[in-house]
Amino acid sequence: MPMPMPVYRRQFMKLAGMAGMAGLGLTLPIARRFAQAGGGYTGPFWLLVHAQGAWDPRLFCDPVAMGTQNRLYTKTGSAGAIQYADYPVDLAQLGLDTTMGYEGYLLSNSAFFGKHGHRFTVLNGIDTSTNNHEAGTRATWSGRLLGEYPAFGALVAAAKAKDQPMAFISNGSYDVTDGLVPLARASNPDTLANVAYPQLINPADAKPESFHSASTLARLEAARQARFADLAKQATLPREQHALAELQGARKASGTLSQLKLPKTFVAIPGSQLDDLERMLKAQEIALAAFGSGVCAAATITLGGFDTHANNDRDQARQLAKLWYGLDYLFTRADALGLGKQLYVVVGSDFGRGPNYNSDNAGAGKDHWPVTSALVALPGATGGRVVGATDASQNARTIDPVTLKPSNSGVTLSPDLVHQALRKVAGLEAFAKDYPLEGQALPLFG
Amino acid sequence: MRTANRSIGWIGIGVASVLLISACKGSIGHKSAASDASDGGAGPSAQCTSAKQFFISEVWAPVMGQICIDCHGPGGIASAAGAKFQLLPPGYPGFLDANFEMVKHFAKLTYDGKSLLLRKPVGELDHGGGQVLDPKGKELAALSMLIKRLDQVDACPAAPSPSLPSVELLGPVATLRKASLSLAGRLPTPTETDAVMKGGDAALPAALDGLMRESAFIDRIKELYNDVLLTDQFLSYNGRALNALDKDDFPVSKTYYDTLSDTDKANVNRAVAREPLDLIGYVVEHDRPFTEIVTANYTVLNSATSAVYNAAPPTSSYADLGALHEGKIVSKRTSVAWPHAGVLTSPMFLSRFPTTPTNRNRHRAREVLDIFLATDILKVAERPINSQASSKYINPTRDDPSCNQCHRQLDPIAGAFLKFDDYGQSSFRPDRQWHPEMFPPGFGSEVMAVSDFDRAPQWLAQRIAKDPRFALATVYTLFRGLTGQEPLVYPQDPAAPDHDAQLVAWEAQETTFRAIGQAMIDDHWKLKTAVKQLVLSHYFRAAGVAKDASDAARTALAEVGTAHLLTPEALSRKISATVGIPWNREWDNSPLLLTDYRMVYGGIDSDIVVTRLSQPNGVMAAVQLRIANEVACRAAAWDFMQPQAKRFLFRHVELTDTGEASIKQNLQYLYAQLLGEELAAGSPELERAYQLFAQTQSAGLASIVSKQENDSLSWSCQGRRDWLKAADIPDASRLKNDKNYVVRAWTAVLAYLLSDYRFLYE
Repeated sequence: MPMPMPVYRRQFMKLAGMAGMAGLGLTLPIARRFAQAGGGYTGPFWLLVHAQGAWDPRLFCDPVAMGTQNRLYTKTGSAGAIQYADYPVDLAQLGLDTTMGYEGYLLSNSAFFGKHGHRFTVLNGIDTSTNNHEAGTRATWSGRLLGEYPAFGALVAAAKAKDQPMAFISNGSYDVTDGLVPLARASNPDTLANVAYPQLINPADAKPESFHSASTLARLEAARQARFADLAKQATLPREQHALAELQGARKASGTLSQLKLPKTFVAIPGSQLDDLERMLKAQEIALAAFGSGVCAAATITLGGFDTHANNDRDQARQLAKLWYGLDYLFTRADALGLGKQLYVVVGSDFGRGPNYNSDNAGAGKDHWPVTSALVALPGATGGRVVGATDASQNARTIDPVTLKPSNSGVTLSPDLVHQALRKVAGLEAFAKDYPLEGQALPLFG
Repeated sequence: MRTANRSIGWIGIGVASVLLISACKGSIGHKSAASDASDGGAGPSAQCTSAKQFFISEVWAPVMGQICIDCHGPGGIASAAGAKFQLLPPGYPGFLDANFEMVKHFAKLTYDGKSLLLRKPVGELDHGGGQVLDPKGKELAALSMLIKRLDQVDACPAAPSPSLPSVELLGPVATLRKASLSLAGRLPTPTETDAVMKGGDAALPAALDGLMRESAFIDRIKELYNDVLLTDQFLSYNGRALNALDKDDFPVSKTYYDTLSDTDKANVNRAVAREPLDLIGYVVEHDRPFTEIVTANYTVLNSATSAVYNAAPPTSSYADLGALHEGKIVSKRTSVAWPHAGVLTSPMFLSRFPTTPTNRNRHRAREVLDIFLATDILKVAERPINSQASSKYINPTRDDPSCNQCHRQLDPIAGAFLKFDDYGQSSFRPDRQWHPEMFPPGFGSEVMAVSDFDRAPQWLAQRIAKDPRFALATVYTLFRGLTGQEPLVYPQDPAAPDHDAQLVAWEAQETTFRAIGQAMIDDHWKLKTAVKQLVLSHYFRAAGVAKDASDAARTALAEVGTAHLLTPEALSRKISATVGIPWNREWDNSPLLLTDYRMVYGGIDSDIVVTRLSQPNGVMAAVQLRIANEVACRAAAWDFMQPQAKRFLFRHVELTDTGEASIKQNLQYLYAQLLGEELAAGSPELERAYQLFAQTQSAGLASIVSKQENDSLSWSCQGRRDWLKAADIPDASRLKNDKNYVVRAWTAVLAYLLSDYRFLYE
């Protein structure tokens, strides 16, 4: 039988409060205020969504209704200036069980752009200059094709919230940090809840006990600090010096982890055919909770299944329908949590697919194509815009660097230029000066 | 303060190199400490640069490695057209030596009195690539200078081998401890420690041989190889490995498997998923040539895999799978024998790296190059391509130069898997033919005869095994697993400010790895030989460098030595080995670091997350604190309940002991046991730990008197459970009372030590 709560439980909470930690059971807005008061990060927040495997822009935001590049639809729709491929979500055609209620977890292009098009600037005709998944993913999320620059999320986290325990959460995709900021993985909410309070025996208890009294905790911390200092003096190998500094930084950052307030429940989708979407939603919930708790500045989210060398139309349409539902869920939850005005979302993929199908049969796929698209949502109704275009052969069209309109004498959109613009929006130009990109920042986002 | 364990035997790298046995003799550390002091030991002297050094820095790095290699490298257009001037890229063992020799040879070939190496690049003599260098540019000038120097006696002969600045190594006892934990997941026995203490470095090889005879070592090798094969993906749920199998080839995987109990299903799934790793373990355990991991004309089977792979009839129970034995996979689809080629034809390997009708085994080929040939083909392909240019070609992967540079190497290897289905990944289809529009099956420039198609994987495996990159790839995999570091990448940018120091570091590592690979080859391809030499090298043992070392020296040593954040698996083993109890979930006795905390502590799931985190973040730091607190809480009371001689933690104290002498004696023991650190009497660290104990105990007593705390342990920290048997201890036998606050004071000390850098890193 568990013991009654010891007296030092109260002492611990007092100590926790002194250290700027939020207590258990706080609601998110309260936790956020506490995070602010305690020096937690308050935004902006960047969510970077990767459609892994290379998506087919012809099937959503860079449509061509007729011709050899599309067998799926015959008409396009529009939301503001955004043109989209207009076709319905048909569970049977998508190869999904029609009895599980999956239609409630999928959105068509029409539904998605109709509801959220005002948020997005669509960038079409981005030439990644590669057909290589690894290089394309790197270029899409760092702006650099050759060499390993930090991911954009790492730059944001390092510049804005380096000392937070989950400054940069990665759920896959390109997440190189170049040592600027530690990378955190956080896909299991149960474990996270336990870790947030390492001094409590069982944080889920109504009245959790601490492993040590408050005075013991203080002695332990003092001893650890003194030990760190001694070890740092003794260390002579660069690698050991670096490791000690990293560990000390991580320890410092862990102090604010108790601010993390996770939802009590997560979305559970019936059956197994939308498991990847369920993982995406869970990862988004964790990212939003980390944003709201002031412990994170950037997170990557990944939805796979886009490498459609076979069954391009079926599988792209299915994965896109999941992606749109996931993004709809994200915006809805972010607004509900009061985070919408600080939320920046970038959606991209390795590169594109096409231009043509790789066979004549019904299960034809599309192979790799360097020209792709990206979607960027800044807070508020700043979207409904399209920059860039492709020609009939799905090559990138050049754009005028001032008007951003297609122009035969302009520049080609590239990951470098997209990231120049993103860095400007995020205020990273000076911070990222050691990672220069080619070209000049264009006013892609107004 | 340096600990005795670390300071004993700290020696210069010159001595360390001796430990690299004959193959490495003299390969590292020929430079004396005195010479290090003069120039930091990194980088060639500015006053005297050898012709080879000039070639490396002025010709290879900016010219040949950037321009000429495109066509004259393996698979390049010039090579394919039969050009005799061939260059090797980084990744090939000894590529700089080989390229230098090639240049020396061609420098002597002249036309009308002028070297071909100066004529061809400017477009003369029908150079296939036309003009690639400006006749007045600095690149050609550097080439011209090199040729002049090669025509003279070298005034600055090259150093016999690259050198690193002197480093201090872990002593033999500390090395044994680190190796024991790393290779066998346990601490050395007193006998082993005594032997090494008496015999010094010379006794280490025998001690390591002993460790490598244990089954834990074989498990470690499997763990290490899963990091590259990633076949543990199929352990993510019961049935996943079976689901990956084609039911026409292996009908037992469906019909019979479905009838099994849940326990048997788990065992069978694990057996199937682990088959390629078991083969690797078998090869190592039996000291077979390590090349058999790709060449073996067999696999290893137990009762479960024998049934699934049609080698024996199913049995009624799979509670005990029996010993592994050599056997053959049989496909029910065909009467043609399975073309066994080690792990290359393992159904799990084939399924882990699947293909599609348009991918055509290229994914597999890429993995073969990466895992077994130390070649990241995607790096070769990292160059901008022009979509409009590529669209000019009907068959760009074969005809577009920007595509075929990579596909010329990739597609022939892909062709070796031609007899496996595009949909059922492990389905053996002897009737299948290769795609005529692709490069034909082969290896490098060698084309496979059509008559070899039926045994194509075996044909490929023989060539992989003979390729010098196979040994290098093996050393790379071991190095990653044992140190947590990536092998250094050849520094491509000669303009980088620290290029010379980087080059020294790379050359030293390259030389060491080549020597280790050669030693393994010379010792009948015994993997254990490579493991032993890596452990004895400064990459595993380096612990310090002179404090006044130059920046260049520090750059050269940037990736050398200890400071390896333990993986979840290694930390889990270390807890058990040093504390005496595992950190397991109470409800199913599974190791917490391999389940609940695996991913959050930077581990891999072999599925979506395949890269380990080597830099701790705030969440990982919090996990460390939870581990320290929870393990200390569980272990303190438990250990006191054991007979003193069997205790892991409290060998020198009882619950009634609070005197300074006995407490300090046990603290010294704990530092050695948990951290491998020998604390001298009177050391500041010993005093700090003692004060932590003494102040906690006295403050706790005061709290009990003042009723702020009670005299009982928290329920969770009571001696209430046998953590080894995973069973509760009867209530009457539990240790609950802590009226002297001794258990809690020791709990604090344990939490302090278990969260220490030296516990969490090796």
